[in-house]
Amino acid sequence: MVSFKFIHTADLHLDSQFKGISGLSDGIRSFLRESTFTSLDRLVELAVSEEVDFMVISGDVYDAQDSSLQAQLRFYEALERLGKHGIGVYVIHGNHDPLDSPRMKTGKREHVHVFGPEFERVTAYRRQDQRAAAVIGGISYPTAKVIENTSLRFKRDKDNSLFHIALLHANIDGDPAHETYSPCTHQDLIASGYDYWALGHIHKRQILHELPHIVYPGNIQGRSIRETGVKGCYVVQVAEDGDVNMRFHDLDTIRWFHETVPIDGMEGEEAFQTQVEERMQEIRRECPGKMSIVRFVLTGRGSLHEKLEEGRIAVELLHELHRRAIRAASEPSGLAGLVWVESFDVRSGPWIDREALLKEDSFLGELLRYGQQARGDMTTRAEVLRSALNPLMANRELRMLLNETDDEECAGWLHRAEEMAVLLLAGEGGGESTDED
Amino acid sequence: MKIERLQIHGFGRIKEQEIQFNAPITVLAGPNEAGKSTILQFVRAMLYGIPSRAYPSERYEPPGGGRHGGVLTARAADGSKWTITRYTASEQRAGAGRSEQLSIVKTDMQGTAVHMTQNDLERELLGGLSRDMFKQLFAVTLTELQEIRTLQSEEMGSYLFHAGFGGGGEIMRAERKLIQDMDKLYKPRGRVQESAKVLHAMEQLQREISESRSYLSKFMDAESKLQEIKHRISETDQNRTALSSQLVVLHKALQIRPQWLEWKEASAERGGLPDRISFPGEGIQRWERLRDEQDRILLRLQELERASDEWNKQLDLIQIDEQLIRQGPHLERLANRHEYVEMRMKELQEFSGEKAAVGQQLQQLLQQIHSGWTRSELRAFSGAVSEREAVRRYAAGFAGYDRRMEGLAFEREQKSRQLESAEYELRRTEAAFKERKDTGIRRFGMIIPQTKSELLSVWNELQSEAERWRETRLDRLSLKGLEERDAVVSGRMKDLYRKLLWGSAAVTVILPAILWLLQSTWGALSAFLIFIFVDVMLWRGSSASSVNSRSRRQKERFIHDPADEEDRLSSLMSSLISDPLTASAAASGQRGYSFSEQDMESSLRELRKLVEAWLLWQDELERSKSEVAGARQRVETLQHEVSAVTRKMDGEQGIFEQLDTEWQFWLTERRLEAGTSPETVMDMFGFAEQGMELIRRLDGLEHKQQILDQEIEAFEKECRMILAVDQEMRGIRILSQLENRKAAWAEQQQLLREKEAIHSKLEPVKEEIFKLSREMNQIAKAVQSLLDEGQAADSEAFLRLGAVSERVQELNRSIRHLEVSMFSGWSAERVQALLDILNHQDAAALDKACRETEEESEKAKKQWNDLQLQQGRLLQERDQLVRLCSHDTALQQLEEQKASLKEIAAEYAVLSICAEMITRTRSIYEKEKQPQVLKLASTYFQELTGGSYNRIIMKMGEKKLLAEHRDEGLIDSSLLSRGTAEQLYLAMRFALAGSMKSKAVVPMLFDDLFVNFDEDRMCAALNLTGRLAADRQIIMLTCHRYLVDHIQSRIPQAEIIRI
Repeated sequence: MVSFKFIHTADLHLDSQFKGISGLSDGIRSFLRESTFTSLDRLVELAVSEEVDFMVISGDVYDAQDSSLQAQLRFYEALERLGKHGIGVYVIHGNHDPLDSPRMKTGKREHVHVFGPEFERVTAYRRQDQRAAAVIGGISYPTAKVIENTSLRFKRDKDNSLFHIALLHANIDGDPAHETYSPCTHQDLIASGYDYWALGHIHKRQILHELPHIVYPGNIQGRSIRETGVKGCYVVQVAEDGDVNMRFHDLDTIRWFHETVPIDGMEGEEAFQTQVEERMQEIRRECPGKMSIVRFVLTGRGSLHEKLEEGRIAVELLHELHRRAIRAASEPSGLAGLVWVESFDVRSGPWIDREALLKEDSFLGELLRYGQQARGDMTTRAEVLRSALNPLMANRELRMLLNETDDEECAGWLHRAEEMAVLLLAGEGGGESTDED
Repeated sequence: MKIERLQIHGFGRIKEQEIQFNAPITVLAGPNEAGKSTILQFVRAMLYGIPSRAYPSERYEPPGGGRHGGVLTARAADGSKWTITRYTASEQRAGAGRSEQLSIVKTDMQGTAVHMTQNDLERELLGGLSRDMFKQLFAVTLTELQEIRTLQSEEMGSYLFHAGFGGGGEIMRAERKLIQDMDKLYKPRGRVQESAKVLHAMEQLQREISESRSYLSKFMDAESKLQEIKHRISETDQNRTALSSQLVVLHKALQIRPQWLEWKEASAERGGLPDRISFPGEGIQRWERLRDEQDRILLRLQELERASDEWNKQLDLIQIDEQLIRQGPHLERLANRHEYVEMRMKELQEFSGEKAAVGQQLQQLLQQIHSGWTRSELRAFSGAVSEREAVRRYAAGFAGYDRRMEGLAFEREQKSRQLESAEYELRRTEAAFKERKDTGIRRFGMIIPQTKSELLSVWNELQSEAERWRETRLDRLSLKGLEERDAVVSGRMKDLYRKLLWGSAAVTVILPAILWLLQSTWGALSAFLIFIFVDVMLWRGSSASSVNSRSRRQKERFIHDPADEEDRLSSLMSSLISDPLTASAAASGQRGYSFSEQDMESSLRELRKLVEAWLLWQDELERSKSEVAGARQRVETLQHEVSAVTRKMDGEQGIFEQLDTEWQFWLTERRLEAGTSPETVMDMFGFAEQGMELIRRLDGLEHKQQILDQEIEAFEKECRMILAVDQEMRGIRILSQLENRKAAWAEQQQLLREKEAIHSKLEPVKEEIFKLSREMNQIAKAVQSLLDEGQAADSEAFLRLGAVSERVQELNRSIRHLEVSMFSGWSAERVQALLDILNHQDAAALDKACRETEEESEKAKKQWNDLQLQQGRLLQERDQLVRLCSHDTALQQLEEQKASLKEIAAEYAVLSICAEMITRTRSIYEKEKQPQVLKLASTYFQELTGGSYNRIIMKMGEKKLLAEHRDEGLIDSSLLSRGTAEQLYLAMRFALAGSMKSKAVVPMLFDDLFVNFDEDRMCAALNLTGRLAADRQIIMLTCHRYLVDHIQSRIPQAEIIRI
C-alpha cells in the first residue's frame, strides 16, 4: 500500500435555496445564492492547498428538480480547476441528482470518473508517482427513488490489497429524519470488507464507525434551520499501513444557529431586545468572517409572553433587525459577520401556573387537559389539526406547504394555541392577578 | 368550610361589629342600610382581598376614614381553624397600589398555628374556587342573579356553563377575537389578506421559475447545436484547404513548366548513360597520387640498401673467439674467488696441525681412564645423566647397606646385653620366692587349710559364730529385770477396764430408756446396740491383760543354752588350726561358758592375729611369684628379639651380594676394571667428559677441514673445466693459468663493444627498409583496390571510365539544380501530384483547371463564413443563458415567499387550533357536564316552582335553556316571567354548586334573592335552602320581615341575627 490523501465530501446541493427565510434584500439574497458556490470554491482551494491525490463526492451535487444551469456550470468549472492540478474526482449521483435527471453533456474528462447505475470498481492513483493508491467502488442512483439495498453489491476485490473506498448515497440504519433511500445497516457495510465508506445523503456530519470507517461528511453549506453548525468536508490521510487520519475542514459561507432565549423573569421589551442583541453579538464573535443566520426560540414563562403574543413585539423586533441587517449588508464587506435573524419561534407561555391550571376544575383546565391529550394521542391531534386547518387546505400552495409540515411543528402549534387560550381565557379571571391595580 | 365569626373593624358604614355564626343556616335580618350587603362584600373581601381603589363600589372604604378591614374566622372541613386578618394599608402607603396588611393563621386540631398565604387559603380552604366563581355562584346578590337575564340568549348557554370558570363572557370574546385575527390572515377567497398577497407573489415567481428552469435545456440545446456547427465548420475547413492546396499546385505547374522541359531533357540524356557507374570518387587524382608515392619510396629504398651493405662488410672484418666469450662471465667469477681460495688453503694447513695436537691429548686421557680404552669406548661411555644416575644409585645402595648393617650389629649387641640381665633377674626372683615360701611354711605350719579361700570361709564362719556367742551372753543378763516390771503394769490396766465397763453398762440401759421415752424407738434401739458393742469391747480390754502374761512365757523359752555356740566355735577353731595350744583352749570352752569366757575371748584374739599374719604372708608369696613369672616372660621376649635381628642381618647380606653382582656386571659391560668402586667411576666421568670435549673439538676440526677441502676441490674442478687443463694440475698453477685466461677475456670484450656499435648503426637502416617496403605494399594494394573499385582491368580502362563518370555527374548536378528550383519546399506527394499534372496537361489545360479551382475555393470560403456567424450567434445565446442564470434568484425568492406564507399559515394555524380547542372543550362541557347539572337543576326547579315545571333542557348546538312546563311544554328561558327565570337560575346555581368537584364545601351567601318569589315558591325555596344547609353553611341576608318569619317557622335550626 502507499500513503495517500483524499477529500471526502457529499451533498453539495449546489444552487439550492435557503429555506424558511424571508425579508431579504437583493444583496443578501445574491450572497445566499452564491454561498453554495463559494463553499464549492473553498473545497477546490482546499484540495489544491492540501495537495490531495483525489476527491470523492458521494452524491447530491445539485438539486435536479431545480434544473439549475448555474449549478451545472459551476460544478464543471470546479472539475476543470481540479483537473488542472491533476486531482482526480470520483462522483456518484444521489437521489437529488439521479442519472435520469437533466444533466449537461460534456466531453469525457480524464480525471473525472462518474459511476454508473451498476456497481463499478476503479483504481485511483497517487499524483506524485502515479502509483496505484486505492480501489474505489461506487454506484449511482439511476432514478430518484432507490429502495434496494445497494450496499450489498459492494464486493471487495479479494486479491487486491489496496485501500478500498466505497461511495454510496444512502440512509444507514434508517434515520427517520431523512428519506430512506438505499436502506442498509452499518453491519452490511462492515461486512463488505471495504476500508472506508464515503457516504452521502444525511446532511449531519457523523462518523458511524471506525475501522472500517463509515462517514457522513455532511453537506458543505447549511441551508435551513435544520442544518445548524459548522459544515465542510473531511481530508482523509491514509498511511502506508492503512491507518486513517481524518481532519474536518469547514467550508461553509453562512452558518446557521439555533438559540434559545428563556423569557422567565424578563420584565420588559428592552430586556428582551438586549438579550437578543447580546446573543447576536456572541454569534458574530463566534464566526466573525461569515454570515450567520439564527433562529431564536423563546421559551419559559413570564409576563413578556403576553406582549409577545398580543403586542407582537417579536415581529416588530424582527423587522427592525432585518432593516438593520439590510443596511449593514449594503455597506462594502458588510456581509462578513452579518447576523440575520431567521425568526422568533415563540414557545413561551404566560406567567401562569400551568400545572395548577391543568388540575383545576375549570374550562381552561379542561381545555389544557384536552390539549395535553391531543398532543399525546395522534388521532385526536390529527382531528383537531384537520378541522383547524381545513380552510387553508382550499389553497393549493398552502396545502402543499401544510403537507410538508412535520409533527414537531404541529406539536409546537398546538402548544402555542394552548398558551394562547390560557392568555385569552385567564386574562381577567385567572390566577392571582386580580388583586393588582 | 364554615364561617364562624366576623369581626368588622371598619368596612363601609360598619364599624367595630362582631357577628358569630353558630348554626348551619344563619339569617341576617335588618332594615335597608343596616349593612347586609356590606357584610356580603366583607366576606368576599376577607376571603379574596379588599378590592383596589379602581373599584370603589366594591371597596367599601369607611367614609370617616380609620381602619379598613377586619377579621374572619372560619373552620375548615378537617377541623382546623383559619383566622384571616386583613386591613388596607395606611393612607400614605396606599398610593403604592396593592398594599394591605394580611395575616392568615391556620390553627389545626392540635392547636399548632401556621401562617399561610393567600394562595394556600384559596387552595385549601376554598378548594381552588376563584374569586369570580365565588362571586357568581356562592356569594350572590340579586344583581348577579339577574345578570344572566341581560345576556343574549344564544350566549346564555356558554355564560351559564362557564359561570365561575373564569368569567363566562371571556370565552365568547376570545372566540370572536380569534376569528377576527384569522380573517386578517387568511380567507379562502380573500384578496386583501396577507396570505393572498404572498400567494400572488408566489404565482408570479413560479412563472419566472418555469422560464428559468428551461435555461438548462436551452443551454443544452445550444450546446448540441454548437457541437454540430463546429463539426460542419471543420468539414468546410478541410474542403477549403484541399481546394487551396490544389490551386497552389496548379499555379506552380504553370510557373515551372519551362524548367520542367529542360529537366525532362537532361533526364533523358542521363537515362542513356549507364545507370550506375561504380567509379570511385576522385579516382584519377587518387591514382596519380599513389603513383608519385610509389616512385619516392623506391628511390629511398635503394639508398638504404647501399648503406646497409657497407656496414655489414665492416662487421665481417671483426673476428671473435666464441668459446672465450661464452666462458667470459665464468672466468671473471673464478678470478674474483682466487684470493679467497688461497686463504682457505692456508687455513687448511693450520687445522691439520691443531688436529694432531688434540689427538695426542686425547690418547693420554684414554690411557688415564683404562688401558684398554679406545675412542669408541669413550664415546659409548659418554657419561649420560642416566649412567651417572645408575652409578650414583649403586653407590647409594652400597652406602645404605653399610649403614643398615652397622645399625643392626649395634642393635644385636644391645639386645644380647638386655637378655643377660633379664636372665639374671629371673634367677634372683626365683631364689627369693623359694626362700619366702620356705619361711612361710615353717611359720604357719599349724594352719590346716592350704588355700586362702578355704581359710577365709572358715575364718568368717568362726567370726560370725563368735559374734552370736557374744550376743547370747548379753541377752541372758538383761532378761530377769524385765519380767518384774511387766507384772505391775498389767494389774493397773485391769482395774481401769473394769470401772469403764460398769459405767458403760449403766449408760447402755439409761440412754435407750430415755430415748424410748422420747418416742424414738429406732433411736433407742440403735443406741442400745451401740452401747452393747462398747461394753463388749471394754470387756475384752480387761481380758487382754491376761493375754500379755501368756506372751511372757513364750519369751522365756526363746533364750536357749549358750553352750551350743561354744561347741561349734571350738570345732571351727580346731578345723582352722591344728595347734595343740588352741585346741586345749577349745576343749576348756566346751566345759562351760561361765569360766572359759575369758579364754575364749583371748584365744579368739590370738587367732585373729595369726590369721592376719598368715594372710599377709600369703599376699607376699603371691607377689614374688608374679615377679618370677614377669622376669621369665621378659627373658623370652628378649630372646625372640635377638634372633629377629640376626635374621634381618642375614637378609641384608643377601641384598648386598646381589647389588655387588649387578655392579660387577655393569663394570664389565663398560669394559672397566672389575674392582673399580662406583666412586672411582664417578671420577672417571670427569675424565670421560674431558675426553668427550676433545673428541668434539677433533670432530669440529675434521669437519671444517672437510669443508675447506671440498671448497678448494670444487674451485679447482671448475678451473680445470674452463681452462681445459689435465686433471693433475692443481694449486698455484691453476691460479696462474686463470690469470692468463682472464687477460684474454678482457681483449675479447673490447672487440665485442666495437661490434655492438656497428650493429646499433645498422639497426635503424634495416627498420626503415622494412617500413618502406610495407608502405610499398600498401600503395600497391591501394592501386589494386582502386582498379577493382573502378572495375577496370588496367589503368587505361580506369582512365576511360573516369571520363564517363565525370559526364554523369555533370548531368546529375543539372537535374538536381532544376529539381531544387522547381520543387524546393514541396513534399514528395505534392511533387508527385505536380508532376502528374505536368505530365498529363499541357499549358492550356493547366490554365483552365486553375481558373475552375479558384472559383470553388471562393464558394467554400463563403460557406465557412456563414457557419462562423451561426456559431457566434449560438455562443452569444449560450453566454446570455449563463449570464441570466447567474443572476437568477427567483427560486430563492419563491422560497422566501414560501417562508412568509408558512409564517402566516403557522400563525393562522395557532389561532385556528386555539379556536378549535375552545370549541371542542365547550362541546365536552356541554356533553359531559350538562346532563348532571341539568338533572339536578331540574329537580330543584321542579321543587321551586311547586311542580309547575318538570325540568330544564339544554338544546344541543343552540345553547338555549328551555324550561319544560307541566302543561305548556318547553318554554324558552328568555320567555319566562322574571320570577320564574330567577328561580330557574337559582336552581341552576344550586345544581352547579352541588356538582362542583371541589374538595372544600364553600358556604353560600344569598342577598335577598327571593324578593320576586310568590309565597309558595318562596316557601319552597326556603325548604330547599334548609335542606341544602345540611351539606353546607348558608347565610341569608334579608330586609323583609315576612321572610324572617317564614324562616323561623320553616327552618327551626336557623339562627336569626338582627342588625
